Amino acid sequence: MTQKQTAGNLFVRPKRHWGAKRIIIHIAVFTLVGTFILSAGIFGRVTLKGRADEYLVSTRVDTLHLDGMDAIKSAMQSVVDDAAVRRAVDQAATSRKRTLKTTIIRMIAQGEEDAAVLQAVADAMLTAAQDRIEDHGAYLAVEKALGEQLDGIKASISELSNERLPQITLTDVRKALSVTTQYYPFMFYHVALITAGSALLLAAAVLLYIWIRFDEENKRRVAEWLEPMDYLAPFMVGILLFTLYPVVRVVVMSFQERFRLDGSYTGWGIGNYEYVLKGIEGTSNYFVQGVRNTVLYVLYTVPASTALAIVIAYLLNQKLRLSALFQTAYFLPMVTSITAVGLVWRWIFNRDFGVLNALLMLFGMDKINWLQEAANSLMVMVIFGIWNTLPFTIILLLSGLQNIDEAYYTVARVDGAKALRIFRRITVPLLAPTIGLVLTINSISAFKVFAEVTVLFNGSPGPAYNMYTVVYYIYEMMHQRLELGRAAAAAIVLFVFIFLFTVAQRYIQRKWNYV
Amino acid sequence: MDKRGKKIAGTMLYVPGVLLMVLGIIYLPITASMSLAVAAALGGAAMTAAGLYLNHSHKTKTLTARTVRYVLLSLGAVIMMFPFYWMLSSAFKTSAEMNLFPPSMAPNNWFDYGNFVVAFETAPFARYFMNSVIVVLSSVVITAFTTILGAFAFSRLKFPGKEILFSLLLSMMMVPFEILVITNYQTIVKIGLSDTLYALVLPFISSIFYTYILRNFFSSIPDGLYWSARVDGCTNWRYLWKIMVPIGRPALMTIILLNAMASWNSFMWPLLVIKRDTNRTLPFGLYSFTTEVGANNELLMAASSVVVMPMILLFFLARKQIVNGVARGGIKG
Repeated sequence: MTQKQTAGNLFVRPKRHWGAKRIIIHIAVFTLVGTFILSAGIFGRVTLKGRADEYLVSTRVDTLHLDGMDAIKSAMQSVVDDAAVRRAVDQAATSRKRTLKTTIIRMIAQGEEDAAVLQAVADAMLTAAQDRIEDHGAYLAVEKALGEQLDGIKASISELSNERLPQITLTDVRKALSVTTQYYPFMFYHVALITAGSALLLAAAVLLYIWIRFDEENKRRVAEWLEPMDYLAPFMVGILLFTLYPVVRVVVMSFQERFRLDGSYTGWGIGNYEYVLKGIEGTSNYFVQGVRNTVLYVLYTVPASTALAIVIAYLLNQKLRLSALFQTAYFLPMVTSITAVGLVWRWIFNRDFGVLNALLMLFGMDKINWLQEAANSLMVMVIFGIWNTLPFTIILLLSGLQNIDEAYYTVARVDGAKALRIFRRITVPLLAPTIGLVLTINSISAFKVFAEVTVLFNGSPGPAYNMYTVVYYIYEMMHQRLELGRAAAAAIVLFVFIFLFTVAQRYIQRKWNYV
Repeated sequence: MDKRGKKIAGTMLYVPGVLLMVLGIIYLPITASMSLAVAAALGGAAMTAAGLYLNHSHKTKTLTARTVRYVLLSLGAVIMMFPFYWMLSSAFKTSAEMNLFPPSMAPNNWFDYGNFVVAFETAPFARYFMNSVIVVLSSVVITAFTTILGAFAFSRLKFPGKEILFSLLLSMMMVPFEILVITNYQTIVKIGLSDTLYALVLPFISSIFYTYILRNFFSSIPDGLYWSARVDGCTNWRYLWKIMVPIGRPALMTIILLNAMASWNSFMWPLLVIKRDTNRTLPFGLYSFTTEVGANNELLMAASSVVVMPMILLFFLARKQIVNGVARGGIKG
C-alpha cells in the first residue's frame, strides 16, 4: 500500500465550521447527561428525605410508645405500695403494648399532637388497669395519681421527642441504609450525583455562552481545547473511579478505625494499623504470620526460578531445532489459569494417589503428606510457585539474551574463549540488567501471592491456619469479616514492601536504559 | 593401543552410551522399574564419558554439547509439561483407575469422555463458560476502545498539564490491584452491581499499563505522517482510526491478548464480588466445583481441562505475539 493510494481515499476537504459544531455537540451531550445525572441525584435525595421522614415518625412513635408508656406506668405505680396493684398495672401495660403502638401510629398519621396521643395512651392504660385491679379504692388512687402527673409527663415526653428529632440528619439516615434497599445507589451517592449533574449543566451553560458571544476564531480555539478532553474522557472516567479515587480512599480508610463495609467506623486514628501489626493480645497474629510466609515464599521462589530460568533461557537461545516446540513447552504455564493448574498440582501432591509420592517411592523414600501437614505447606507453595513463575522469567531473560550483540560472541570466539568463559564473562554481565529486572518484578508479584494458597489448600490458609499470606489476610479481612479499614491498613503495609521493590525496578530500568 | 584403535573404541563406547543415557532419562518418569532407568542413565553417562576420554575430537565434543543441551531441555520440557499431561490423562480415567497406587501413566481408554459429561451435569460449566466469554469479550472491546483514545491523546494531542497528568498516571502503575481492590469492592457493592457480570468488567474498563504501551508505540510513528494528513484536511478522528490504529496493530494485538488472558484467568475479583452460581466465571466456577465434588479428582481434572483449553489454543495461535508482549511489557499474564 503506497502513500498516494491511501491519500486518495482518505483525505477529505477541510471543514470550515467544525469548531462551532463541536461546541454544539458538547452542549447537547452535557445537557442531556447532566440532566440525567442531576435528576438521578434529586430522585435519590427525595427518596432519602422520604426515608428520613419515615425514620423521624418511627422515632416519634417509639418515644411516645416506649418512654410514654414507661412514664405513665411508673406514675400509676408511684402511689400504691401494694404488690398486687403494681403487678396488675404491669400486666395492663404488657397486654396493651401492641395495640397501643398501632393506635399511636394511626394518631400520628392523622396529625395529632403528642399531648393528645399521650392522653389516649393514659386512658387506654387506665381502662386496662381497671379490669385488673380488684380493690376499687386502690384503682381510684392510681387514677388520681396519674391525673396529677399526666401534664408533667406530657410535657417531658414531648420535650424528649422534640429533642430526639433534630438529631437525625440525612447523613445519619444515609449511613443507616442497608445496601439491599431499593434505589440504594441513588440515595447513597445523591450529593455526588447532584454535584456532577450540576457541573455538567454549568459547563453546558458556559459553552452556550461561548457559542453565542464568541467569534468564529475563538470558537475554533475553544473547540481545539475541547478535543483532547473528548479523547481522554472515557479513559479518565475509568481511571478516576477505579484507580485514582481508590488510591486516595484506601489511605483515608486505613485511618478510619474499624471501617466496615456498611460504612460505619468508630473514629479516626491508627487503630487499624495497631490491630494489623500487633493483633489481639494472646491470640496468633495472622498478619505477621502472613508477612513471614510471604517473605519466605519470595526468598525461596524468586532466586530459584531465576537461576533455573537463566540456564533454560541460555539453552533455548542457542541454535535449536524444534525451538517452537520447546518454547511452547516452557511458556505454556504462563497462559493457564492458576485455579486450574493449582488443582492439577493438588492432585499431583495427593498423599495417597499422587504421582509425586509415587516418584518418591520409586527412589525408595517414604510418602510425604504434602497438603495436610503444616510443615510441608511452604514447600508445596514454593514448588508450585517456581513452576508457575518459570515461563515468565524465561521469556524476559530470553529476550534479554537476544538483545545482546552477536559481535561480542564472535570476537570472544575468535580470541579462543571457551563456552563457559563466554557465558561467565559476556553473557552474565550483559544480562545483568535483565536479571535485576526479573528479580524485582518476580518479587513484586510473589508478594501478592493469593490464588495459589486458596486453590492448593482448598480455600483455607494452609492445613492448620499456617499459610496466611499478606494478600490472603487482606482478602479475609475484606470478604469474611467485612473489616475494610483493617484490610486497608494491611494493604498499605503491603504497598510499602512493594514500593521498595518498585523503586529498585525503576532504578534498574533507568540505569541501563531498559524498557 | 594405537591412536586409531583408541578413536574407534571411543566411538564404540560413546554412541551407545549417549543412546543409553537418553533412553534412561526419557524413561525415568514413565517407566515401571525406576532402578533400571537410573542404571541405564548412569551407565550411559559413564560410557559416554569413557568414550569421550578415548576419543576427544572436535566433532564428538560438539556432538556431546548438543546432545547434553537437547537432553537437558527435553527433561525440563517434560517436567514443565507434565502437569498438563497429567491433567488430561486423569480427565479420561475412571475413578477406579484414579485410586491406583502407584498411578498408571495413561488411562485405559483415551476416548472415554464420561468425566466431562458428569462434570457438565454436576455444575453449570456451560453457563460459566458463557459468562467468561461475555466478560472477556466486553472487557477486551471496551478496554481497547478507551486505550486507543487515551493513548492517542497522550501521544499526539496537546493539552495543558499533559506531562504532569501522564507522570501521575505512570506513578499509579505501581499500585497493585490488590490494594485498589478494597475500595473497588466497596464501590461495586454500594452502586448495587455486586453479583452481576457488570462488576467483572467495570473496574477494568481503562488500564494505565495498556495505555502506556500503546502510547509508546503511537509516539514512535513519525510526525510527518500526521502533519501531512492534517494539511490534507484529515481530522484527528479519521487519522486515528484510518492510520494510527492500522499501523499500531501489533501493539494493539499485544494489549488485547494480555487483557484477554488476564480477564479469562482472573480469580480474586470474581471471588469477591460474585455470589450466585449463575454469575460465576470459569476459574471461580471451577474453584467452587472442588467443594461440590470433593474427592472426585477425575471430574476436577476434566473441568480443569475445559478451563485451560481455550487459553492453550490461544497460545498456539498467537504464541509469538503473547511472548513478545510479555517480553516487552514485563508483566505477568
